Amino acid sequence: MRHARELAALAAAESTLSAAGSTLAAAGSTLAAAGSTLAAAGSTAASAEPMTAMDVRARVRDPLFGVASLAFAWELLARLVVDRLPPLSGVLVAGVDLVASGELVGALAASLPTLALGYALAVAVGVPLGLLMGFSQRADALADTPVTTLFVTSVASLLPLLIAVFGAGLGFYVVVVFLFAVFHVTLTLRAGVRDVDDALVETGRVFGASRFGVYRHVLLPASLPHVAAALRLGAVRAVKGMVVGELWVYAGFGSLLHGYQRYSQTDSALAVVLVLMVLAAGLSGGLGALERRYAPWQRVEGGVR
Amino acid sequence: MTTLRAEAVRKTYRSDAGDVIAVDDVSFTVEDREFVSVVGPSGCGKTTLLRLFAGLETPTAGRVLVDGERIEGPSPERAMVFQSFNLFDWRTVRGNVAFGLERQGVPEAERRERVDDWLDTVGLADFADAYPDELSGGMRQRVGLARALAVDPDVLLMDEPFGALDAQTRAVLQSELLDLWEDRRTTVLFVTHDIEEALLLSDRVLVMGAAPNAVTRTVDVPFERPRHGRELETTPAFAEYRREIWDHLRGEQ
Ligand SMILES: Nc1ncnc2c1ncn2[C@@H]1O[C@H](COP(=O)(O)OP(=O)(O)O)[C@@H](O)[C@H]1O
Ligand SMILES: [Mg+2]
Repeated sequence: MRHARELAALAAAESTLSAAGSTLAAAGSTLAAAGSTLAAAGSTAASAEPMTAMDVRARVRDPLFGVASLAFAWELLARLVVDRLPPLSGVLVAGVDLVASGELVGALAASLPTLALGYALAVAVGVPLGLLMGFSQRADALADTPVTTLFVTSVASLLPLLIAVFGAGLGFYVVVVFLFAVFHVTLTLRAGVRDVDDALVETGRVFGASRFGVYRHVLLPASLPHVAAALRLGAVRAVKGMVVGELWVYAGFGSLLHGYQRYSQTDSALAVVLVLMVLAAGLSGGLGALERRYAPWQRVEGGVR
Repeated sequence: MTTLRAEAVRKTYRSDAGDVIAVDDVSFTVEDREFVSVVGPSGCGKTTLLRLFAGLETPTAGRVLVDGERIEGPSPERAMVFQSFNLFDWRTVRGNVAFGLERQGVPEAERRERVDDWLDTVGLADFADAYPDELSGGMRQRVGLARALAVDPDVLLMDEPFGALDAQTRAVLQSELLDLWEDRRTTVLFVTHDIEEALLLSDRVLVMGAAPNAVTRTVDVPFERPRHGRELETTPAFAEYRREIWDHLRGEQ
């Protein structure tokens, strides 16, 4: 009985999430675009084709315009067409309350440690594993079946099992975050490493790189942009995992969402969704900034090549 | 002293569609400090031949020799320049040129000096800290050339190095290579499908045909050196050679 209710709550919250999904995607790409604009502005000195101030302004202005029109559309839709959708203005007010009441800080304090821990574990396992699978046919043959099987398994369907194994405490949340992120990190990275041009490996050998030198001085640096891409995808997946875990065994953002859902405070629930959106996009954008700092040769739009 | 020698070399690739004979019974010698070009239609085995000398492929039959020794694998003593540049995107221009010296363990100070010398020579001193993505095609190939020359190789293996450049840039780089080579005189095996380029640069031109993928003719190019600034291309003798090779290639098909 209790579980049926929880499933319903989960489904409801998930659908709230997916209703806001397009908003999330749009805002995410806006942040990313703004980020790359800043990076482009920062690197104009070194760039062969410096951007004019007008280009920069246009590239900041256009995404902002995108967000503004989306917000406007939401407001109109809510006020004129869809009765039960709270207008954006209402959601923002609810968001202010969320901050003022301390609920947001409470949720962050509860959720961020599990997010950080699970994500760190996913990176610690996924990055070496992905590199290894990309570098070595042998390692790939060994790891491919288990990794791919787990990748296609719905983590949500494993939740009851995970509770049974890890209990309903910190371990559970960490493992859910880990499982949500680790396979995406691994497989993104493997694909990226495989993508490294064989001709570069040969070039390394021609210029005297040893077997180890080829890994160290060609394959590894050539894979760095893919590491960055894998980390960004992993971060977004980790936030999803955090929310799903916390909706299954209420905690942090999960209990906030559940509470608002229960009392039909859709505006507050959407405010939480907005916060999660900003969290995921912010993490991804921050990692993008790191990438531009440590992989400055990488100047392709979107950062993935 | 560095000579290259191919003795009855055959290279067969296995593929789904059956075996492909990429190089079929090829024999020739490149003498010490000789500039030899290989011309021929695409698919006739030019790249394969170069890769055999680079040590990136092993012959299916016959022998590929450097100074009489069988080639065991790639070595910076036989440095390569590639049509698609193959620069390391994550390294600056200076880092690319330094790559071979780093692998050889040349100390930092000496390395920097030698690299900067080469950057000067190829006219890239101002771009030492740029990344390859920021450079034009011509500049990228200058990096490729400097990277190969910086390791002080005995042999330069060049696979259509100017094939990806526009006509004007190609002409500039050809004459720069000519000057460089006439200064240094390393042994060069140069692949191209541009007959004029081959005649302009080489002491000897090997003409390859397709099916069988073999050297069908060798042409000695007697033009005096230095050739720079002589506008060789406009002389009747040059036109005669070009015509001869061209006719030969057409007769093959
Ligand atoms: N790795 C390979 N596997 C199978 N066939 C190959 C391979 N490399 C080259 N070939 C074939 O060998 C022949 C010669 O190729 P190549 O040496 O690249 O010629 P060229 O450089 O003169 O265009 C072609 O028919 C080509 O398709
Ligand atoms: Mg070729």
